[in-house]
Amino acid sequence: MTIRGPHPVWWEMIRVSARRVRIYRTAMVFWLIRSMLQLFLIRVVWTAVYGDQETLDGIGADTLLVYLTISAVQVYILPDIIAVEVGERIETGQVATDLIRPFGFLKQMVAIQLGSSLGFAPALLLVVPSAMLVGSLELPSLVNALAYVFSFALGYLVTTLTWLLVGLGGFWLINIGGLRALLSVASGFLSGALIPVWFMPDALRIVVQVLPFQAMTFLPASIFSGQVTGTAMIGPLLMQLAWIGILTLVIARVWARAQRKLVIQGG
Amino acid sequence: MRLASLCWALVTASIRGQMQYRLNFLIDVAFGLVFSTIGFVFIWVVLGRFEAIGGWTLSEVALLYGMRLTSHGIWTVNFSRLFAIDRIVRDGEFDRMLIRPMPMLPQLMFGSFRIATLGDLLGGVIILGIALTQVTIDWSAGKLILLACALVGGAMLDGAFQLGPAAMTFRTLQSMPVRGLFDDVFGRFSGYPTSIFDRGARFLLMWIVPVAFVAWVPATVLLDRTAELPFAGWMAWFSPLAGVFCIAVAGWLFVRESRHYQSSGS
Repeated sequence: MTIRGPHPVWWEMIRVSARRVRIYRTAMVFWLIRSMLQLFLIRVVWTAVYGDQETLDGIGADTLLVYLTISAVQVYILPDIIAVEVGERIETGQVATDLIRPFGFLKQMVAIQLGSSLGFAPALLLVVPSAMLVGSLELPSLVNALAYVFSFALGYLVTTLTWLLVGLGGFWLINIGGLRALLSVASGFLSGALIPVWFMPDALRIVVQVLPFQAMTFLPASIFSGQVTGTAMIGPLLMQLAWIGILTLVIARVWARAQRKLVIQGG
Repeated sequence: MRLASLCWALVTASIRGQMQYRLNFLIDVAFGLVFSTIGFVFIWVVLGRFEAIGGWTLSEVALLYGMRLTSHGIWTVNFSRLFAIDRIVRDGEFDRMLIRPMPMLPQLMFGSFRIATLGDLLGGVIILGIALTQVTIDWSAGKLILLACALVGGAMLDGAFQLGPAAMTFRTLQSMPVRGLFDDVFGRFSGYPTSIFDRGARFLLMWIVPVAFVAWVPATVLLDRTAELPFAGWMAWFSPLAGVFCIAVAGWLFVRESRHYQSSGS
């Protein structure tokens, strides 16, 4: 029996999508400046909140800064392009052509997402040093570093699945521009990138915990910053896995219905 | 007078157009509201929990945020068409504005009305209104006038850093990234007391991109905290003039640069 690797179409689609990212170079630089300004501001605000105190609620000022910095990097590099792609294809009717291709529509979209991340990867050479300059990125212990790599990968999957689901909403809403914009603004907050979930009031914490956004940013970042260590890391990782399971099931259901719901615009 | 009625006709036509899509309209306003108040939710959660930053309490920072968001709303409600300046210049739509018998700048400014921007103004007025009931201000006629002037002055300041960069569109065909950057700087930094920043950042926020004058400087007068300012307290009474000055420079720059406009020729 031969082991088959991924279908070659995967590579081709990923390659094309990676190349396309280059068009957005200028926009990405400006976006980087903007996210670093944001990081600078929340650093100043949190520093003012801490004042002379070393810790608040048992969270050290240094730990918090590392947490905020890694969160900012993650928010910057985790893409929601898949929602844009799916949404646009449904709105323009392009989806009809995509559907008759012999390679599944959802796979095509995931390939576009992966490719765009790969094409974007060189930007890390700029993003990480800027983040270290504005914030602080102390490396965690070896165990935490390994757990972080794993947790980041899970966070990437949660991101992809969540935005794919939002994109599929287009089969019912036709135009998801408003919904996507609303969710991307809210997700910056709900993912814990500005205020770690530790500091949130109970009511808000409940909202955050029933939404998938914290599995994208907060959980990996709390591992990176060393606030969660040892066996306590199992909880967050399991929660991420659970989100991947839930989102996969929901997408499967939604996708089955969406194909019957399809409206092709124009001729 | 004729100019005003022409502007009104253009605005109402634009509103009628947008009302055709009811659901989209509601989502748009909701988005505007969430987008503009999310920054305040951050302040609310942090200060609700940890009392004060740099000696400013939640209700005092809310006053700053309410002032700056109301100013921003005053600008965007009136001048939202500037958002689309890149497209207007690139597609040659600017031709139409040049051949009409109305001056170009008012057409560009008042020519349309984006309902979504009401979210900014609505959010600002709500936050400002609530903050005013929470802070203790020793009111006087002078302070009332200052507050009104500061809201308009803040709108001018915010707008000057949109209109000014927009002038580059005539040469480069693109100003959106730069305008977005300034929009961010004003949106993020003007709702906080500038005193919490260190020297370098404070200098930048006061004298290079003067976001401090949108809310913090006039608010120190309202709250009798002018001792925090790096200049004499009485000067803060004139802070709205910063907006008048900047918008005048930006307007002059925009009109001057518009001479470099080249139609797309199609």
